[in-house]
Amino acid sequence: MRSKDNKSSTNYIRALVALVLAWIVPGAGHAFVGRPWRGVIIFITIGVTFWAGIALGGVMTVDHQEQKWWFAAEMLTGVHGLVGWQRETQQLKKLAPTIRKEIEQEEDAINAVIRERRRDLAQDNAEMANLKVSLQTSASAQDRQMLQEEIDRRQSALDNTKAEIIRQHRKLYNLRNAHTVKLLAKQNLALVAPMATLARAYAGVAGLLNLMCVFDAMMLALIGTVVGKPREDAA
Amino acid sequence: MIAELFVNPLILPFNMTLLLLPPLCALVAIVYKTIRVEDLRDLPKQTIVLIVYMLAGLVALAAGLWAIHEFMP
Repeated sequence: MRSKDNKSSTNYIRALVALVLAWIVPGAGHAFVGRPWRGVIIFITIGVTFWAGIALGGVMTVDHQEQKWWFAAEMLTGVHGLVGWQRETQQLKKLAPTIRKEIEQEEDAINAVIRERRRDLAQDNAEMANLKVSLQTSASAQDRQMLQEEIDRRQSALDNTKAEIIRQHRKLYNLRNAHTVKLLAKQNLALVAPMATLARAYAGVAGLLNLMCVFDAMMLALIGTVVGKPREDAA
Repeated sequence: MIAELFVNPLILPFNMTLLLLPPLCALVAIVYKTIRVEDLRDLPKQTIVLIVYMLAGLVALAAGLWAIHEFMP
């Protein structure tokens, strides 16, 4: 009984190791569970698929800001995706000073509005707290009603201020993105249809294929295939 | 040249982009069959069969959609 439990927990650990290995290096999970040739084929094929996507679409094929779903799929390729992400981040870092220079004035104006609204918010919050204390200590029903109305009015103003801050942040984000896209286009780095779809399809499909391989390696480790080696790899 | 290839996007005419679909099908078929076949010696044959199925399916789908677009009022 104990030996069965030990074997089962060993298989869970093996499955976890297979999962991590298969994600980090495509094919490593299969090599780990005793299927090295399949691991090699998976490693080469997924690598070729991902880097074919990057060759088609360039460094911005991996786009963590604008293409979040594709990005998630690309990250499933493990080390390939991580290298792609690092290259994209480096590229954006190179462009950052130019973008900052271009939008400096607009950015400063928006930041000033945000700072002002935050000050208003802090002030309104403090006044609101005072009003709530007054409401609790107030004796007459008429005063309480007046205070309650004032609190409701202030609450509505507070909500508006919060919404305004969110709007300004979104405006800032959109401004930066618009200029990033413009600069990428100017430097011939931006992806345009139909190449954008094709390049991301290659890189994203590589990730989804690796997800399938991760799952397969994990299941093989879980059922303990390594004990009974498959005949093609044993041969 | 190679470094540039992985930085700037390729510019291909629209018709050429369709040619990139069969290699993608082939890569999908290779990975899928690698984990599915019992004997690795069967891999090339089974992969080719799957590629043919996938391409035939895509062509049939394209023909069906084209027919709907052309002949449906």
